[in-house]
Amino acid sequence: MNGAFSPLSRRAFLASAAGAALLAAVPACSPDTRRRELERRALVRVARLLYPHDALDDSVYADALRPLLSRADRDAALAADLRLGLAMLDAGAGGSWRAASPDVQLDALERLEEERFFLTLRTAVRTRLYQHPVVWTLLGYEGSSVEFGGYLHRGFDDIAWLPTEPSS
Amino acid sequence: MKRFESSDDRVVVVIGSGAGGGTLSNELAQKGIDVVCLEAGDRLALADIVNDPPLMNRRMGWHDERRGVEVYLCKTVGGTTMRWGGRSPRLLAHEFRARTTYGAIESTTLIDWPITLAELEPYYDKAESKMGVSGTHGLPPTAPTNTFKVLAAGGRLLGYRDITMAHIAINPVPYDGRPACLQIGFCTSGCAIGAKWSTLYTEIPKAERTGHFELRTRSMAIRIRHDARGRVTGVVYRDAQGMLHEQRARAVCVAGNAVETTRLLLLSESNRFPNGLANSSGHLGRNYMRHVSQAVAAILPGPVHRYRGVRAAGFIRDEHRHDPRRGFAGGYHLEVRGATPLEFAALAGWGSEAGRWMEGYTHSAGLGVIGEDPPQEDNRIRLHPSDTDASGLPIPVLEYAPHPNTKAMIRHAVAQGRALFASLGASDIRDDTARPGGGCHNMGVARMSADPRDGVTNRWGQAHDVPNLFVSDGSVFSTSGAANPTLTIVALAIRQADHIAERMTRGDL
Repeated sequence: MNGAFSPLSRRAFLASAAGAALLAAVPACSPDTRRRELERRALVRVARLLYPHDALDDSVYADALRPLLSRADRDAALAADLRLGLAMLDAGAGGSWRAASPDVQLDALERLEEERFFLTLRTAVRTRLYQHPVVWTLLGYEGSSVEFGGYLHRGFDDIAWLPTEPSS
Repeated sequence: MKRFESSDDRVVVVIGSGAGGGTLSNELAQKGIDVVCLEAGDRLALADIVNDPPLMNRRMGWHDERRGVEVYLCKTVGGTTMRWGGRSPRLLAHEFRARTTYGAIESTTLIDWPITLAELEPYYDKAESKMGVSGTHGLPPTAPTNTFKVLAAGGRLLGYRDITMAHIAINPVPYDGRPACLQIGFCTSGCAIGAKWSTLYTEIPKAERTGHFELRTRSMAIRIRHDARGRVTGVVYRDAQGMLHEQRARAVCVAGNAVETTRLLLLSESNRFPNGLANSSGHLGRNYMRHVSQAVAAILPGPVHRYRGVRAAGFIRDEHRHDPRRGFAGGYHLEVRGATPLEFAALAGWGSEAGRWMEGYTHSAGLGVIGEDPPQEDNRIRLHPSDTDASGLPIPVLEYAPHPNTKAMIRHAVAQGRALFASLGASDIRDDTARPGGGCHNMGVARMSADPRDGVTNRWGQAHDVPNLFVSDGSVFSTSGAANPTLTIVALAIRQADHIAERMTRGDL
């Protein structure tokens, strides 16, 4: 199947088992929508590599990315930055970055550390991920307290493992 | 509510409603002096204050465009008293004599303050009583939080002895009609119950009850006008609809925090004052000081839950002294610092080290270093020559580079902070020295000086060049000292109000 993106081969691909599996996994069917969905999945993977927490589902990383992606819908320069970054990841992985091994993925990502793509994603993901209620639960953070009367009677001074203070 | 005519030239106009402007307004109004306070921001109610730092930053923060180093200002009634942590130490005697005590330090513009600690002490007393500072004037100290206990235990293992839970302007018990602290843990996003001192729910309503005070919110001062004799006559400001007004004044007091104080005085240039109002010395905007401000955090062997309770509970004062054997002039505090997960993530890095760090959150503790930052001529705030912000005003540009003395202090303080956590068996200790800190404490751009050639204002915060123009915020600090600035700003504002009233009585204002 040469020329994977020509109409003919695309039809052939979609008829195949792999194509059917992809279609089942990708909700909408226009080529543009499908491409965007693949990009989104790659960015979710980047988000996880930036701030890895095994206990978190991909959907939490997707939540963290959502504001950035909706900004990219309105901001052509940002969308271009993201697309360029993903292309650089593919180049760094010597093919499909998403399909590469975790080590190759990490290595390719590390080489983009000083790129705007990396810094933009890192800030955006950090800002949203660590404000996410699911992540707060994972980290043991209890969040807003005024509605519970603060922490006055909920452990603000309950530490028990410190070395005892010498008298005087 | 009292309303003054814009043509009423008997009023004192105060610009800004924070620690300096809010306090000065109330002190003047209590003496029966009519005050119009212009505040660029909106007025929040206690019900608007929620435990959501990013949302509160949008509600209270000053987000107009700026260039250069970061600062964290507030555009809201109460100014940065909404965001401050409440820590209220006094400056020490030697810090008022920085040039004499430290000697000449190369490439600094160190001077002595034109006032002494002894002169300010009665006003520190008044400020502490006004603000309900814990551990002073009969109030109990702040209750020890988990994070304070960590700091105290580690500090003692390091040999520190001067470790205090006092000097925080958050009510340890009900005081002045405000409730006691509930250890809510979101002090820096506005205290939702009013237990932390802020001018929003202390000075401003008290001033309003005198009948001598009018607060105009969403009123952005853009020019101070003067007459042919060089005395200021009024302030031009823009209201919420973008309409320009001029309020006449017998005296004008500027308290916009260093960035906006500088911008307003520079914007008020004229034929008579071509380099900006009150800037014949050329010092306006210069000698900008930020305080050494760095963070050290660590993952400890047991749970701490550092987000519970007062964020700025307690500090270590042993290093707040001048001891050149440490390799630098001046001193610093090691202070408790709370953090939400998002704030904690600032030290996370990325990749597996980030995941590990963040999952240690409940076992983490942190401290802040606050230390003296010497004045330098080229650390300055200026206006961009051509670029303007969304409202059409020139963009402020903040130029700041740490002095070698500051770098040496940071090295010492961060090493001490790391040793403190190591003494408790911390497994992962990190600091933020890769990125210079600061931006909450802004000082020095209109500094007080005995000699008019050395600064912008005299010992009363009165402009050397303009007899009825005053600066009433941290801009007047001659040097930064190591103490968090709010208490000193409040003490100076109370003292300035006495001075203004006395001169009005004498008939020369």
